[in-house]
Amino acid sequence: MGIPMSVDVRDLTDERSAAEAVDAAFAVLRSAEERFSPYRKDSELRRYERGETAPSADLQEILQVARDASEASGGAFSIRAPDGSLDTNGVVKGWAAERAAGVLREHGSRRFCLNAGGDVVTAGEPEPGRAWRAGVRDPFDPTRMMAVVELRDGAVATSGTYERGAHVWDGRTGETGAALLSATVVADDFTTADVLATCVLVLGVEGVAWAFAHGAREAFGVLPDGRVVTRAGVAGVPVPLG
Amino acid sequence: MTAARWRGTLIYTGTLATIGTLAVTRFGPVLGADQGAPVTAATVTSTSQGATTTQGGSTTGSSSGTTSGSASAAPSTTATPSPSDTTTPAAGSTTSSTVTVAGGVSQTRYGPVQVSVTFSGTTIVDVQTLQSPSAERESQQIAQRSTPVLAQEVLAAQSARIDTVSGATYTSEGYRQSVQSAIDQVG
Repeated sequence: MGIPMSVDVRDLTDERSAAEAVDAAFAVLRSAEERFSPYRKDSELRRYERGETAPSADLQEILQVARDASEASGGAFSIRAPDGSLDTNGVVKGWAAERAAGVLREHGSRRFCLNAGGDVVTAGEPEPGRAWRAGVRDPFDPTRMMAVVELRDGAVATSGTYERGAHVWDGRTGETGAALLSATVVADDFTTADVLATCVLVLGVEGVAWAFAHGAREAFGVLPDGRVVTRAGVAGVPVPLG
Repeated sequence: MTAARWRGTLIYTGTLATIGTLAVTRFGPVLGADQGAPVTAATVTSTSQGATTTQGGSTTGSSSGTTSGSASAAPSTTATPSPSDTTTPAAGSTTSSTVTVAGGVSQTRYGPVQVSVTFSGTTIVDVQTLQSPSAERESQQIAQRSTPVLAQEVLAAQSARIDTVSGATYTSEGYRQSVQSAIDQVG
């Protein structure tokens, strides 16, 4: 994946244990990249694809997540790329980052922010009394934020075409490209946020409302012309706060 | 994967609230229900628990999705929303299920920007542009989009006081230019 990862740990009581936790988390991410890379000829993914190996438990898990997402999205989400090859990147990044977050928790951290190439998973509070603040980048300007999501435990994933171009495809048509310029989803866990964000990107305007029915705590997107899509047309009585 | 950075603080603060609270904060000057009221800039916070947040020393109160607040950094003027291209209810109006608030006019580097935000309960359900920039060469480009992303175009990363950035996956090249790398370096 070659994706920069940033980790911010706030609660491990000495530098050494924090460093160990973070090293272990990064090891998980590196391992996932090696094992499931579609670009490496001898990755576990490619060997599985060629029938040279049975899927490991982890790969089975990833494939199941992909199947569920494909079903839920009416086929828009697909790990079968237009050229017929297997590409699980839409699942693996979130899956691996969730594993990495689990490693941080195993090492005792309850307050951290992990950012895997623009997808964020958080736990706890960075400072007492306030939540983590994840800025959501303006697709048109990397120095500007279009919104800020405040999270304690949860994940924010943004899928978009404005960095790497048309690297997503619509599984229903086999066409590359997406209806939205960007889609952001907030969910309880990273895998869900990551997969939903990709689905919403492909599904387009209808995808924003759809995401809420599939585990999104929040979802919004940006159309290529710059208009913002949120969940619209919500009827009923407002939920009282407090 | 590169740059295994981490930042740690050595303070253990005891019991922490780990409730999965979600809030989406929209910045920008907003009006209260009374259109004639002087416009003050405020932070809009939608939370599921009515918690307050603070920003830059100002305080906000969250209520039933409408906004109240005190002044923050963005200058504001009396707003005159132009309803020409919107289908949302008039600014400050309330339907049985939604509340729409119109922001004051923000002077951005591209020109004046004004949006209205519609809430249903604590959820933002719509954002409409009431005024968008014009004239300048740069703003021509932006104006070709039917609206700037949100009134937050004025919101540079440092003003947003963010801990991290969520965006479309970037490569190492993109990362270097990104706000996230700036955050990592500052930390």
